[in-house]
Amino acid sequence: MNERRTKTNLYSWPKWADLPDELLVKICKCLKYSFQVGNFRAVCTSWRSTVPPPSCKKLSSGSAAITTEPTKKPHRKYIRRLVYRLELQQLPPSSSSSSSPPSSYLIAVEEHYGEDGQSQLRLLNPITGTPISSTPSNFPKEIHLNKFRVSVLHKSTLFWHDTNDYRSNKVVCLPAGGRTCNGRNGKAVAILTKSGKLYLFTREPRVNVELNELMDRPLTNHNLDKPVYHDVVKYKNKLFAIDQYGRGVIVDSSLNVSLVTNPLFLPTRDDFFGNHKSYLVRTSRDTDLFLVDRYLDKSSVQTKYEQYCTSDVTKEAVYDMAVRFRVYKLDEEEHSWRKVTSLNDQVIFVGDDASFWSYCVSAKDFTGCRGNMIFFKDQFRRAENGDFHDFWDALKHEKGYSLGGFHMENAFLGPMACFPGYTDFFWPPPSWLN
Amino acid sequence: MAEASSSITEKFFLTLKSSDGDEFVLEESIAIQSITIKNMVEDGCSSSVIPLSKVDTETLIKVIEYMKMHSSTSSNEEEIENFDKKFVSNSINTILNILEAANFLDINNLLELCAEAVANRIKNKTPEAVRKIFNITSDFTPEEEAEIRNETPWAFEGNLDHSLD
Repeated sequence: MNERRTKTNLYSWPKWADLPDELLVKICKCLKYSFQVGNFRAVCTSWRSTVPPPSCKKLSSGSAAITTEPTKKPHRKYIRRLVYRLELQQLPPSSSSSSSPPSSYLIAVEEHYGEDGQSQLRLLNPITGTPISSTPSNFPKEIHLNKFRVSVLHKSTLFWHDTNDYRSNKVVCLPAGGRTCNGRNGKAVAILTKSGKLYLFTREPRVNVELNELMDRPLTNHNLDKPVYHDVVKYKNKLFAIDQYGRGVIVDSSLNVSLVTNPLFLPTRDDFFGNHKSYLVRTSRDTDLFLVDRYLDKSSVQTKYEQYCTSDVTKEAVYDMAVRFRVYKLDEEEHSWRKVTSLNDQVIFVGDDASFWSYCVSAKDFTGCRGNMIFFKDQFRRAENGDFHDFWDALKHEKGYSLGGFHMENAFLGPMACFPGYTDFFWPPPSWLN
Repeated sequence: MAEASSSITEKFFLTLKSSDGDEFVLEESIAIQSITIKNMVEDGCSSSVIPLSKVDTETLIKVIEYMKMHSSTSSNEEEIENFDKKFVSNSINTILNILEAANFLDINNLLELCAEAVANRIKNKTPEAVRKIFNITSDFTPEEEAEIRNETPWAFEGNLDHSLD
């Protein structure tokens, strides 16, 4: 049926060119992304004819494309958040002048799985991890992902349900070996709530337990209260959780728990103790695990109500305001966190307290991008003050918070406007995005 | 060996013959993970040697290894998982041989495992690299190439994974 196909080497394995259609279909079903399916179909005519073209995935931003009417919401759903690198590729004829590197751009999206199993993509603010509620004027209404080479730099999952109030939890799943193509059968699942409780589930045997219930033995030598957890990630195929004392806990798929680092923050030693927030950030391929610690200003203890009652309107409403960041790297052999003074080429993004949003990318992946930075959501001062109105306003859209940067080299922390040129790889959008 | 085991629960054994003519004796309860073999047993064709003309010796050894691991009651889930992980690290040619054998023998778990392994090997590769692995020459007409280029401009770019393993 494929007379046109010629076989280049009679001495190797020519039979793979004639793999039965049903096997080609099976293989292709295991490819997750449309660009992978696109590549699959570009191999030869028989491969192309076996597999239908991938549905052209469009990325929509703005409220028009995707309805989130409360009445239509299912009560609970999983939201997968991904960070993509989009690369514009020159077509072969022009590639003779290959001196200019390909343009690349970072976007964050969330993927909803509806009841029908269909997924929808929506654009997120790359720093806060929250949906961009209306399209900024300089941003295309739709992005056709098939136009670009897409790499997935980060993914994480939220479990979202609204019963009485809006609540979301972070979900980390250890997949069960290689037996299923879609990884649906998670072996162990961790769910972290906003209050810092970490629940663990396994399917076989059916177990549902809070991590602290398993921590009695590992914690006997620590004269500290039962911890609350700040973050949990999948690291080297195990669950890695961090509590408010900076202790790292590893949980494997059989729910064996081990304490892997000593406490980093002690109540008596550190003034900022009660007012910090730790995020776990893994570099690509799990090469390093960073603990990013954000220290909050003391005034954040003040409640909104107290601020509301103060008649002094000139007083800035500062709560949840970051004053500094510290970054530590996991030293597995020494069972400790080592403080780092430089992130080298890494750029870290962290959302706010309860966003469960943190990741890092390598500056090497983006043309003109400078590393050694942390970008974060913060509360410098109310946006209404108008001091920092700049091109960021279109992106952040919501009032009442601000976006900031922290340069590791000189420990300089300030609003985005202080970092011109540093953000080109994720804002503003390049002209070729359209 | 058959004597000792038959005193408690009787075990039946099947003889599988590879395309190279090598024979393998295997417990029936293990072999019937293959639906093809199971059907043959139910049809009464198992008294003599079962010829597997599409499976060579090297591949059959791997398939039997897999079936033994996945049927044995003594192997726990973690063992099986580690076995699978190691299993898919075989060369892509071995995996493709096993994939075809699993298709012929109708062993669904093995088929899924190998299909996913193949997908993982090729997912980040350029069409050019995939062609080399599968020994395929591009047979698109210029019109088709233009169409593909339009559909997936990056498909012809070379800086994905070029390695052939």
